[in-house]
Amino acid sequence: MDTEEFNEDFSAELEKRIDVLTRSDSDVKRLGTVDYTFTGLFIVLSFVLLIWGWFA
Amino acid sequence: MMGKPSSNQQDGAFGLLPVLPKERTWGSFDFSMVNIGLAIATWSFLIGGTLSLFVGLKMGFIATLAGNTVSVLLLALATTIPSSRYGIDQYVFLRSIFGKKGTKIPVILMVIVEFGWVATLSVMFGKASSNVYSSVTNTSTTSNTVVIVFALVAIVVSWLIVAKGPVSINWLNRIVAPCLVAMLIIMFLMLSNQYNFNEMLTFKPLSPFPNDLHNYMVAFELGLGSGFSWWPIMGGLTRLAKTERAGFWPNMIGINICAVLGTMVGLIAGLAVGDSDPTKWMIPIGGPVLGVIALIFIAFANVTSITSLVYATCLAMKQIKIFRLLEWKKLTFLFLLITAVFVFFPDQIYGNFSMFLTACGTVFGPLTAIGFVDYFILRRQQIDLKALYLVTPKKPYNFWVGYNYAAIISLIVATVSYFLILNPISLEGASLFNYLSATLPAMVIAGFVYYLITVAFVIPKGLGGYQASRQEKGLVENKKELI
Repeated sequence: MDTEEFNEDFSAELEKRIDVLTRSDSDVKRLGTVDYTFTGLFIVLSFVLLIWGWFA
Repeated sequence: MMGKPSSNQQDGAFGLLPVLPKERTWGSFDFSMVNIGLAIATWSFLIGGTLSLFVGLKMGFIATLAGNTVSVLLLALATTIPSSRYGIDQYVFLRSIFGKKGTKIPVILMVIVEFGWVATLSVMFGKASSNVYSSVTNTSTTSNTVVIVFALVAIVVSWLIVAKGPVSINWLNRIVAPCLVAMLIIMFLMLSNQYNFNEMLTFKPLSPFPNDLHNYMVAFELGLGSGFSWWPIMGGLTRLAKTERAGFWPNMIGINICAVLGTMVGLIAGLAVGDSDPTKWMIPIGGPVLGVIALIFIAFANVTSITSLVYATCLAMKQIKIFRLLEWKKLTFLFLLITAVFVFFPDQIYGNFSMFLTACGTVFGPLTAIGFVDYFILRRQQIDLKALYLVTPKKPYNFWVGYNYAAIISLIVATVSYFLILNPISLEGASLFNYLSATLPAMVIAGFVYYLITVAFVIPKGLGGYQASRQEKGLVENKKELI
């Protein structure tokens, strides 16, 4: 998709939104990031469960 | 009083614009409800019924929980994290992987699969409603006409809901999802009244392969496939989540735990009754009143799933210019109109359900691996949001004339590898399958090939904006050290 395909309003709104979302203090970045330790732990436990199933 | 949303706000929710934090509607609770509404549909019971062909309850539970957890977590990492962080649709994000034109490849793959899924769900609605109709009128009909009529009703009702956008989907799920959880418990109790737990554990699979390990891995593979089947829509949905956590962890509640529970109910029923179709066993087991109520809820469960699927699919279709220009109502109508053609062949659609499931592992597993390697390893979670949409001076996501061959080649190699390990139709395969499954090796191959080609060819040519991602990450880390 190229800039030329957008009308002016859309492009201006897009730039405004990108600015908000990429600010270092953006709400989304500041709040609620995921803890990857638990994610990794659940994946490892799933494989342990799978291997246990081989012998069950 | 709440004002009418501006056209730009609507573009954010229904179109390609990134959604701002203040416009996002789903917290953890709401997105959990959406997830539960997605998970507890007839498909989870049907997957359980399919499992009953190969494994008993104990092995089915272990294999399904392991397969579903691995796949849901991996796909959630690859899709929901970038979408919820930047508020962008998954298919806008995919421009950084497949290139701006190349993104059409996963979109087309996804739309084909989703036609099948939506048609299957509509036919299930039709079958459930047809059984209710037969029970209420005390008639026995073998004709497909009633099924087709009710399937069309499901499509019309779904369109009326989805045309109004994510807010109406939100409200539908708030009402229906808790009822569905209650229904799942009631259905389990209906089965428990007839069989105690020890009896359930002794049920034998209906039509297993001679090798127990192979049966177990088939169950694991189906668990992976059912988890990865959510790949096409999760990014589109989680752009509406208020935080990354709200977009990520509810997947574990809905499409993992609730989906596994639903699958287990289907497995027990399939083992007990010897029929994989849940709409067939509810009235015999639950009696005329409870059975009919269960069927009605199952029918509506399918509507909640259809609306979420259509929302995410139509959002993805906006990657293609002719659909981008269509009004939201017209686009959703067009998608459902084409789906309506399929429901005139209910037996063919219903009978090929397992094909949709295996297609998910074949394609969406490798796509997940490519997404994971690109976003977490190569880009270190930094993307150039502006370059995803606009022509910036370096055009990082143009790759080669709009296509990233690294992603395309990796996807093809991984999919071919899958077929060499397992025939997804007959579920027979190489001995390697009994230890590694087919999806997991295909994913490793996809990720490895993608990494190699990117490091060897893409980055040295200065394509893809990888240097910028690394520099930006380095700057952020340096800033943290200074602080």
